[in-house]
Amino acid sequence: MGAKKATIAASARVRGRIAGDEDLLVFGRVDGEIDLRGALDIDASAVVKARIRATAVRVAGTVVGDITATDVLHLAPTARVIGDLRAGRLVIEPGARVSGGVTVEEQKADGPRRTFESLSPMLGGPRFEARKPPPPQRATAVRMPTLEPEIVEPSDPPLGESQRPWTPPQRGRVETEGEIDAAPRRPLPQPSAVPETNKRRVTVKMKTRGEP
Amino acid sequence: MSATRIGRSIVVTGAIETPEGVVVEGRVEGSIVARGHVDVDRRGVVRGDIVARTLDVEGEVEGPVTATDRIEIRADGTVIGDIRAARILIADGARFEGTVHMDRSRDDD
Repeated sequence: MGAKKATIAASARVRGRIAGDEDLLVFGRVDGEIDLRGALDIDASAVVKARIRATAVRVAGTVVGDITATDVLHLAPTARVIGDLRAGRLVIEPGARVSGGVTVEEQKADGPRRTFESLSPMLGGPRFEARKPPPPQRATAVRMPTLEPEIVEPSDPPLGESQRPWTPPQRGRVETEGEIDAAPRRPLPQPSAVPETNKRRVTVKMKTRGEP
Repeated sequence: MSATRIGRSIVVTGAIETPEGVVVEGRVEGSIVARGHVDVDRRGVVRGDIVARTLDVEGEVEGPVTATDRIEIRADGTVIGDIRAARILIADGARFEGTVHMDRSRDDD
């Protein structure tokens, strides 16, 4: 009654999928799936057997199923969760019971995120989107393949955040350390799988190009 | 206690059951079985059958609807499907395709 938020009442039961772009309060039962771009609040009275994905999730009730919160996942003292937790930030209050795997790292949100991209494969986290090629560097009239580094001199007045040519952080790190065998345990999320033997060659190539 | 409300951007694919009421401002692809009042808001869309005690349709319903007491299709409302209730009100301007069954025996006054 108070807040006119989307609500599943304590006595109500939904079997199926609930999706939406707003906040949702669950006091009752949901069996199936919840996919929300908004805050999901699972009350102490609620029993949810569903795969849950939302921007922010607060659990005070019972959940059986994996929970993914792109931002924060909050387990209140009365929470009972069986399932894997994935969240950008995680709060577990004393009293909450959890059984399942926990992954706390920045989740892939709507916008492009690069943070932790290089670490993600090593941490065994969820797949991030494939690395994007650097944005075109405003070289409007460069038709000839002549090498003119002055065009993208780093001492230029600072570009806007979005225009700044992006350099993959991982490659930079590999160069400075001089380590090539720092291969991730899992293959990088590249579009096509590069054979293990070719990896070395690719990295060296980047090095020579980066330091002419 | 908060009533069940399917918000404007919410899409429920499946069944909703409640001994109370439901307000549908979003979309329900599936059935609603409620023992209270079901309100299909002006922006609400239900594709599936509805069972309720009373039903108000200002939005769009596609499917058979049954009410133990009363069904009202408001002026902006659309119902495509058979309706069955003790009392049925269809406002001027409402859109309705289907058959009407008035079951007077269920009328409690």
